[in-house]
Amino acid sequence: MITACCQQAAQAGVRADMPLAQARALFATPSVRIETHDPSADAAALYRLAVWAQRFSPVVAADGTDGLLLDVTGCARVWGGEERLLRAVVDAMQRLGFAARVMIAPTLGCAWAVSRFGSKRACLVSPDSVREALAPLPTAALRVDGAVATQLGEVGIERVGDLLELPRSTLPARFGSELLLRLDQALGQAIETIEPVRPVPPAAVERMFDGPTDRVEAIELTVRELLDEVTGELERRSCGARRVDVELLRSDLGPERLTITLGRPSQNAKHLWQLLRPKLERAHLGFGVEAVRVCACVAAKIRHEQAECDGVAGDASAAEIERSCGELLDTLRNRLGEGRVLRASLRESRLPERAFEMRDASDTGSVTAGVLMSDRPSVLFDRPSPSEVIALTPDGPVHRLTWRGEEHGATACVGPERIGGEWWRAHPTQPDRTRDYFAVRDERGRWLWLGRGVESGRWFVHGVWA
Amino acid sequence: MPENDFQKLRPHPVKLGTGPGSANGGFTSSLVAYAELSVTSNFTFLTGASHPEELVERAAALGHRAVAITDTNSLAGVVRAHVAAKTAGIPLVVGCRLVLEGGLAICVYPIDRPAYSRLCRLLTLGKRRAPKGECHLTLHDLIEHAKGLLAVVEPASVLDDAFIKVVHGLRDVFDDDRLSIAASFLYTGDDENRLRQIAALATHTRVPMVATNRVLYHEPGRRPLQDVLTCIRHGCTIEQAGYRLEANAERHIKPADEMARLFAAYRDAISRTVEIAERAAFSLDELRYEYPAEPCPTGLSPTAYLEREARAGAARRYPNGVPEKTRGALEHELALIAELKYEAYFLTCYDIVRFARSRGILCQGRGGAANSAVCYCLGITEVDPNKHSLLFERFISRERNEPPDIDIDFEHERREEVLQYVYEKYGRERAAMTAEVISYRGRSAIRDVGKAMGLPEDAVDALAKNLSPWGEAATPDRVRECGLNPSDPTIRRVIELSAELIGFPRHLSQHVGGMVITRGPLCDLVPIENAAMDNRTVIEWDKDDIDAMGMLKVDCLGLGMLTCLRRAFELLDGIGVRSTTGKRLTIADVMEQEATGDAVYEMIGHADTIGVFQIESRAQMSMLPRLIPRTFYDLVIEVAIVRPGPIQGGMVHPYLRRREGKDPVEFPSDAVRDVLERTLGVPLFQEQAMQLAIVAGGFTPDQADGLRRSMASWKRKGNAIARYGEQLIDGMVANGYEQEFAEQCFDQIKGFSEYGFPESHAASFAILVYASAWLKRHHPAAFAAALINSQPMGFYKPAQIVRDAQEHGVEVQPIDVNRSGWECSVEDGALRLGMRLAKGLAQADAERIADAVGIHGRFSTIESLWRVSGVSVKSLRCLARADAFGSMDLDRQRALWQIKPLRDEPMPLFERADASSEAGLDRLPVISAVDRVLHDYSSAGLSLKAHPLSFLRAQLDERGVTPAGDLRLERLCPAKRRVTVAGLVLSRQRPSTASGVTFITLEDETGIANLIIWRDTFERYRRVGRLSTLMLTRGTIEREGAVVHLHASHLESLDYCLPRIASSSRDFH
Repeated sequence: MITACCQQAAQAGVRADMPLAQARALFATPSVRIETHDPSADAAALYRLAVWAQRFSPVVAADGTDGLLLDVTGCARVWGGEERLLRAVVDAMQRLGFAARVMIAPTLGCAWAVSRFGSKRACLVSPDSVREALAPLPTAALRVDGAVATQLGEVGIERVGDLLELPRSTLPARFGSELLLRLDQALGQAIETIEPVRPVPPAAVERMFDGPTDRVEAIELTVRELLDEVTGELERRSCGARRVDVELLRSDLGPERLTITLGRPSQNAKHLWQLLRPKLERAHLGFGVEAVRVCACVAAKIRHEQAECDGVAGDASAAEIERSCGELLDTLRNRLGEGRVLRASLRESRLPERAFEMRDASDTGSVTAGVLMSDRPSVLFDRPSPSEVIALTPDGPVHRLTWRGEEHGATACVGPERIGGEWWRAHPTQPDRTRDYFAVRDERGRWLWLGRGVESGRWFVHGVWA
Repeated sequence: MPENDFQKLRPHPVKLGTGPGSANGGFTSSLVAYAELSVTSNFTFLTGASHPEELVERAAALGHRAVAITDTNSLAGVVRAHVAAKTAGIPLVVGCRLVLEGGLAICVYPIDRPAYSRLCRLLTLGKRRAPKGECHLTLHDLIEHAKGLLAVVEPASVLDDAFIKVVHGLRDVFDDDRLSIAASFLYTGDDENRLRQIAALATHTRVPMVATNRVLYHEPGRRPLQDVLTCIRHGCTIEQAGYRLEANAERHIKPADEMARLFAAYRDAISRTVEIAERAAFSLDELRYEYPAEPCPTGLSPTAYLEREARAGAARRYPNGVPEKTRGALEHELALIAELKYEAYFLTCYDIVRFARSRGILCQGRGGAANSAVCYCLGITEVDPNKHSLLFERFISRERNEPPDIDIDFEHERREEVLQYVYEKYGRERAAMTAEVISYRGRSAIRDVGKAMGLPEDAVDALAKNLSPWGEAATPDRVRECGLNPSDPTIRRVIELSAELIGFPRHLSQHVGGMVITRGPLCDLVPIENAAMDNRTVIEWDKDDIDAMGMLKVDCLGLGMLTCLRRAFELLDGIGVRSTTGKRLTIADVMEQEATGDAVYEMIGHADTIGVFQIESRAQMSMLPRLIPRTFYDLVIEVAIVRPGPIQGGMVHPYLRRREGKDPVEFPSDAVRDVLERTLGVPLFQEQAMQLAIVAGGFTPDQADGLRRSMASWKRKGNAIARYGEQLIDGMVANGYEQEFAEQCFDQIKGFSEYGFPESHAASFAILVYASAWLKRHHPAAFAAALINSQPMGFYKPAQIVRDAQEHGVEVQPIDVNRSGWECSVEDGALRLGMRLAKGLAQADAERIADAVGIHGRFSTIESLWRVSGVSVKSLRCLARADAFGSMDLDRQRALWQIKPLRDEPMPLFERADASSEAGLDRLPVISAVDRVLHDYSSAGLSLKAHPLSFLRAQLDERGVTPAGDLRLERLCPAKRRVTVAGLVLSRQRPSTASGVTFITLEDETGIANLIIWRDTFERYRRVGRLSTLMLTRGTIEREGAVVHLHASHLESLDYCLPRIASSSRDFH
């Protein structure tokens, strides 16, 4: 289903609620850009916009999925009149790249209606022209649900004006009481309030020195104290920091910013300090630091666990291990750099070299495979090393083999295990990559994992059991 | 039924026949004696990756001593395998892999007929108690049915004590050395160890080990397809599938010596396979199908009874004495039927037809044996053998021991009554529906493979959409059209694999009307499962399987036109139009007057055929003025000629030219004259192709039948028909015909492959054509009413039917609560629309209103109607929307306003405020005439007030738009003139046979305009072409006789003129 489309697409006939395939069929060329609708991202963006819009009014709310409500009562004076406020909003939105429709009206309902169904991109409705402004709009502009609007349409009531003509008393029995309420709200005969957004600022503290200082001990001590304060705040909020910024405001230079990121949210000041300390040691203090600011820019909720109850240790020890592991990973990563700390995880593939993958250590998400299917050697060579083999029959037991310049006699041989190539990753014209594997014991008792390309007939050693 | 005329994608092996030179496929057995006993075909849906035929042929080619087919809990593929095995000359072991609750898998093979019946019963038991498509069986069930079955148990993954106990238990059940334990060498790395363990277990339990390769496909190249099937089954992509895929491609049918090498240490396991195959000697040939014993009056044999009924019928049919020709045919046919013992079959059909008649259900037989004098006399068909020379021999012949074939059409709304009668009469034990194997076709294959290969959804969509719905695989060009790169490896894989997947069965469904009836219990012959529909049971075999097994099947199909005719006859009965004997009219009565039906033929010749059976489509209508049918046989030809078969075989133009006298009608010989004379030397029917092969090509009737079968399937198996082609051409040349004539004949015959219409079907259909045309000509009001009452059927919606009736001078009255019933009716010669046209109205409520009107008399207010009839407010609203309160002097708006305050439940007090229905009426806004019409369209699908276009006429005149009605007049619109036409879009079609040409039909208030739009024009105006409901077009007039088309070169949407139309007009596609 199409949720929204650009103007160009709309001209080609694309409409919201149209199946994708049908929309595609409208274009001769397949060069159409299609993005997946992400309602939560939309909501988040709208929320950010609402917070941004607080510059115009202290009372701002997101309205549905596509609008913002601003209570500008008394705000106009600051901008020099409603006209100017309107212009300011339009301009500011335009700079942000939004093609917004902006209305100022005496009632919320009227503003909603005119902004969505009116003909102008921006306009101002004066208190005595509310009725006039509403009359030509379709009944859907009253924020009634679609069924009511359809029912109104059936008896020929298309516009708000048609509705205003009718005796009020005839309406509720026919179309329910909501219609009257909505009508009254639009006309200002019923009260409606908005619930404004109240963003939570990140936990941050700042301290000024008496004068610029380049005494590392003093700065270190301050940072530790500020970290304590920030973690205290985080604890109150039941949050842990995922990223901490420390800004050193230097006297003649721009601020120096030190950033640490964490694999799991933490409110442990000591741990944060350990991560921060090596960075602070290397920081350039310039002519002295005037102030320090510590901010937990990214935070996440931490679930509280009861560590111990009545002397019986719960999962505390496991949690403790997990926590300290996480802290170790943080330390390693902050020392070695992003993407340098990896972990191996299993993947469901029969090909030994594809049966695992290296992921970032912090990526604890979806592990697809839990078990290995077959017995595999403990050491798998990155590059299988070629080998000469004498076998008694085509896929029969290995008799002798030469590997790394040494000749070995085979004292035991298990196999073959035949593994087909992953044909879907290969080009259709490529030859088949099926291999046979044998576990072979040499006369020293060492088990080698020997492979052979079924097509090529080439032998190689792919691993050993150590 | 004509709707089903697509070819089968993978022909049943029985259809391929044993053509010339295909004797026994060169079967030579290998040195090592081996038989593959565990073979999963693609009838284990989404698991096996080869057709049963492929598996059997492969095993035969490798020289296996025998081959089994063991689909999981199913015997659905065995008939195909059986037929293929007979052709290939390899013994088939009928088997089934039972997966019991708890996961134990056992392959079983019946040794004789009773054991096979037990197996069928066992599967029926498991299927009937499970939801459709599943089979729930326990070890206990198996034990109860174990007699006469050989069993091979698959070892559990861990050979623990529990498994040993199971084996011990099974050994007691399958005594007499009937149990074996399966062992396989599948290159898992651990095979030798595993074989050792199984061998030890075998020794320990004294159950012999048997070698199998647990086959999933006939050759290793099918591994990718099998992987994809696994993905489809699990609903995952190939990247996600992981360990669910097989590790390698070993599970194919291996050569016997290869198996011997793998089991070198276990020679006995190899020889055990042959031992089992020899003991499991049951062959499907042993299934002796028996016709149900048709109860005859005491003292009469079926033969005597059939004879008596046929003769009595003949006397009824020909009150003035049976004509000599018919008498002769009757004698001949009765003798043949008696000789082949088909009496029961004819009596069964007779019985079903008699039942339908007794209930007043119209029915008509067609197909093979139906067009015989016997069937005419029994009342199964209406094709009078005295007037039409139809060959009975073709349908029943001594040479082909095959059951006769009769399809019976019933009124589509009442077919279920007939089916339930059959169930009741024969019992669920002995009657069931045949299955329909739903196979992958182009689109579905691309869709599933694309998804499994992880293509993005819109790419899959684009690919699937660009393929024609039936068959046809993706070609690189089509892929490029979708904006995808055909050389991309993944795309290439998708295309290759979907081409392989086409024709694979996906699930079993129920055949539209095929019923199998047996004398003994049906579940002794074939497993029965539940259908998706309640109260229906379906066997596992489809109609080709049934054919191959020689089982009796009666096709009971639903046909909308029969419903329509019955309704029309009822309406006429109501207004006093009856037959000469004073009874309600029947099809036979209408056909009796056929000889004097000039007026009817005249109407048909003018292509004035909206609503007439079969000849109402646009293609048929453009043929009619050229063919100008004058006799019944012309109708038979008309029905048959406008079909993909004759069109693609290039028969249409030669026929028309000869008919118009432009080309001479010549015959190379008298023998050919006999065959082709009635169609002016052009073969138009399937049977003519066969007869031609016999008289001119020297075919035996058997070979001719093989030719017919291969005609139905040459796209898939091109070589079969090519082989016949050579034989036919050689034969004809040898018989002294010219090479050119022979090749031309063969090309025409090939055309039938797409879809040839047998003459017998065409003749039965032509009767309905004539009967419906007769009604339309003489009783247009009743005909229109009956057509609307039988919706959905045919090509036209009520709006066009009503309009057509109006054009024929029928007065049409609107729906009205005080006058209409549920159905449309005839009122003083006028058509009164019924409440069924009011969208959303329940039939029961409409009938309550009609009853209330009947008792109370007319109502003057809505409220009184509501209180007396007790219908719901919702229904009143539907009626008000349909503007059905005209007799109360209330239009739609005012009626709705009055209904609005009514509530089915008591109202909350505060809402009562001003519920009186009159309040506010005078202050409602005025609704424009256009909007009223558009509201009519949205609530009833038509308007009697005006056509929406009439409101735009002034505007259109300014733009120089020609009314569509003028197109008919050559004086105003000569050929090649450029005109502009505007109208509502009635239909958009893009037939796959028309190479990208789109047909659009426009309608304005004066008539209809048929547009032809070439591909590039359509692409240019894609948006308008696809979406707009109101269209303006410029184009050039094309005339061919009375047929007028417009070659559109410019399209424009007029939707903006009537903004409401896009949302309220009919359901356009």
